[in-house]
Amino acid sequence: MTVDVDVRPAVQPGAEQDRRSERGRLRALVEAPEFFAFVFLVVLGAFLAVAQSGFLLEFNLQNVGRQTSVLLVLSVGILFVLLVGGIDLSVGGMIAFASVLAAHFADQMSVVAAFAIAVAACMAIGAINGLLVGVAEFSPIVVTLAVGQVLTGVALLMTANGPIQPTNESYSGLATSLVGPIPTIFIAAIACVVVAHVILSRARLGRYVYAVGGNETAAWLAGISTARVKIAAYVICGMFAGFAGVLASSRIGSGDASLGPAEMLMAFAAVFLGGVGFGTGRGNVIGVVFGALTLGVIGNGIDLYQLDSDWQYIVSGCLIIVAIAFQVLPGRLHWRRS
Amino acid sequence: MTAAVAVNGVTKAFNGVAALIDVDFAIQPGEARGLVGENGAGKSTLINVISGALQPDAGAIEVDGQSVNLRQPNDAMLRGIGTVHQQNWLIPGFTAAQNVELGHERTRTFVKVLRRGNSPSTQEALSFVGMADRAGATVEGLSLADRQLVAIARALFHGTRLLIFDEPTAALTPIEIGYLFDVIDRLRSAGTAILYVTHRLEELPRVAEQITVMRAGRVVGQRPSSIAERELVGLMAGEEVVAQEDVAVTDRRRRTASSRALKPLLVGQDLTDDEDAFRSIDLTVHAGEVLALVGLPDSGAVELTQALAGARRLERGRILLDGQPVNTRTPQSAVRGGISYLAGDRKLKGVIPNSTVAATVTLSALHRVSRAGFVRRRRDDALARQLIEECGVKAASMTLPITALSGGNQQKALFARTLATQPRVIVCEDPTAGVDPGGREALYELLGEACAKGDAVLFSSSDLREVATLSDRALVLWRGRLVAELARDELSVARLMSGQFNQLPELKAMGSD
Ligand SMILES: Nc1ncnc2c1ncn2[C@@H]1O[C@H](COP(=O)(O)OP(=O)(O)OP(=O)(O)O)[C@@H](O)[C@H]1O
Ligand SMILES: [Mg+2]
Repeated sequence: MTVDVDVRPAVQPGAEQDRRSERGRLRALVEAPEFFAFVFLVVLGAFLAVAQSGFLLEFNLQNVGRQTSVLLVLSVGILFVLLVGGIDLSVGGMIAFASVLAAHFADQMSVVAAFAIAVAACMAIGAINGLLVGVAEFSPIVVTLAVGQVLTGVALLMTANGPIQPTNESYSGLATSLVGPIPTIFIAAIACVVVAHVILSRARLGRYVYAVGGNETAAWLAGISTARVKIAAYVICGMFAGFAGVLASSRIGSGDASLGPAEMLMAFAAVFLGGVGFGTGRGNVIGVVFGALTLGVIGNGIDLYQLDSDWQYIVSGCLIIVAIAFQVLPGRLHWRRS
Repeated sequence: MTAAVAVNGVTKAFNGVAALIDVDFAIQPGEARGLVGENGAGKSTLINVISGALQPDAGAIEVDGQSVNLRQPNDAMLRGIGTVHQQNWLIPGFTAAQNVELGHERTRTFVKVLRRGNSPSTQEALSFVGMADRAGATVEGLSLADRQLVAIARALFHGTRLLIFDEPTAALTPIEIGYLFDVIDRLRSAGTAILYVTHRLEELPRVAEQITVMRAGRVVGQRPSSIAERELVGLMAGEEVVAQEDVAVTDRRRRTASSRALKPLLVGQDLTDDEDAFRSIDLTVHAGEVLALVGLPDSGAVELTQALAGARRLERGRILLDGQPVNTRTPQSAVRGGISYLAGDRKLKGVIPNSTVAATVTLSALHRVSRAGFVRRRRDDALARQLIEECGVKAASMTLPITALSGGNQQKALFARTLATQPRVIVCEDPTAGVDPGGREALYELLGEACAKGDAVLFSSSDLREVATLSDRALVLWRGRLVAELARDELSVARLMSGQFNQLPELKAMGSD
């Protein structure tokens, strides 16, 4: 059945079009994954700035920066695996392992070299995760849970006589020193964030990460090696998790196998607060940064009000649910469209 | 002349069930070849082998006379083989342009940073299909037809030697189909070979000179495209089909005559869409009637279909079944009220990938086979078996995952699911998309039987020939309004087409009020 019409209906020009696109832009902003974390952060920050005179003091803000650094780095790592439709539950174990490994080597060589070994080891573990998930096609939850168990076990065995305390002073220097008014550790975390953002938004790998998460079969049919993309995502996650472990270890000044589980829970909270979907290929670094900063500010607020720090878990848990409600509701209202 | 692409003695089996048996096939540069066969004949499997998505168990593939080993889709793309797959595989959050160049982006420097903007070849591929102005639109914002054009643009991006289309017109309207045929002509004159799979046999003379016919995993013949459709169907089915179609049509006509006297079954009053796709529509479906809603993509015909099945919200209006108001707030309540619904986009809205064939067909009707909330295995199996048989779903076993079936057989399974609730009114969009001519007849028969019992069918379809053969009456929509009603004896593809453009002379007045 052919017709001799080869002109497709043109898009109507004019004012109507403009108005629609302006409304569209506003809607795109509201529906952007990072929008609600941003609103939370601004509202919370404004509230504390007014209600607590101590909040805006320089040393307090430095504290927030220090407290948020580990969280930022770890959350950004987790983002990569979530975006390819996976999950990594081994990051808790990686943090414990990296901290113990770095502390173990810190007295035998320069601190920088010890840190590098710890990060490299976690990247290798990430590669194993990636191979098992991407090539062998094992379930990511099971694989990474198991790998995390093994790592925690290794870290515990290495610290059978208690946490390892490096004698080298500069081990905790990363966490305590300042560059101008800004904590060095926070600068390191921001550097990680920038690298992750560039990879995801500008590099070809980033485009493929979103493609695989959006529709794996489609990506494969388009000629992408989905296994390689997944491996890369897990290696990057391992790198950031290892670095987060090093930072955490530097903060407490020792290698401790009990690090990890709390950091992992908070990082998942930050990621979901930042609008990252679970298995939807949706989310970005900016949202995760807002999510992590929000949690950092909440923790700080709890300190300022001298509440039990365990309240942080309850507040962040509730916030995640609120955040998800905000994300889902606009979609519900337009459910007929999709 | 060396063939652009040739396969020799290719065999492929899935779990011991042969899908391709010793297939030989060759296509010359610049040649356009049709490929037809019943559902499950192996067409998509052959295409998957040529495009590197599946590896054959035995046999060889040659590109330009060179033997090649295609281990993944990219290997085929690099050799100039582009494919528009039967299922439309696009990345949802990406723009049209990003989807076109996916996997082959231009980068700067060794760290593979993307260049800004679309590459000229992406832009060119999009312009080729008339989508240049929508390069930046995300997939969610595109109509089904536009998505199909994006998929075609992506195939063009690679398909310089051979371009494969697996039922490309299933989601397209006549305008876009015409557009697609122009694209194919232009590509052919540039020396690209075209392999074109379709169940709409009437398209073949326009597209191809020669047609390859497959049956049960084998190539059973090659014919000029001028061959009579009936002969072709016979070759596909492996038997002489004698004037089957004519018999069916007369049957339907006879039934229509008797349905005239019957009473209104489904009545819609002042139906107005929440998002302005249609306004103030009044319509009546009589018991025993097949009513079609037709129109261009922006006419609201599909949206009206969805609204009647509870899959779309109304701003105002009432829907009555048998004189009683029926709750159509959700598809679930509509099903309970006696209206069941077969959605249009099989992959997005139909198939649940991880469920078996049996679980698919009985999904909506579990209340019929359970007691106190527990599904009774034996009754469930019996119902599934009955539905599969009735609708002619060809599956080696009903415990296979639904995704292991050929596209047309998946559609039959969804059709079965729609019938399973024993609805008073069957509402469907493109009910036979991807189903072969023989299977289509069988499904039409089932709809006919439902009507004979006093139920009714309401459907929208982009296939106007289907509308002309299947329906007793058609309502034409244009920009959200009802502009024409065509009775059985006025139904023809030509009139439906002019109706879609609001060009039926005697109806001008009705449309412009
Ligand atoms: N992934 C798979 N796993 C198991 N069986 C499969 C798979 N893909 C296809 N098959 C089987 O191979 C046979 C051929 O299927 P194919 O998709 O090639 O048919 P087709 O000719 O394209 O049909 P249609 O017109 O319905 O699209 C069918 O019997 C189908 O059930
Ligand atoms: Mg097929």
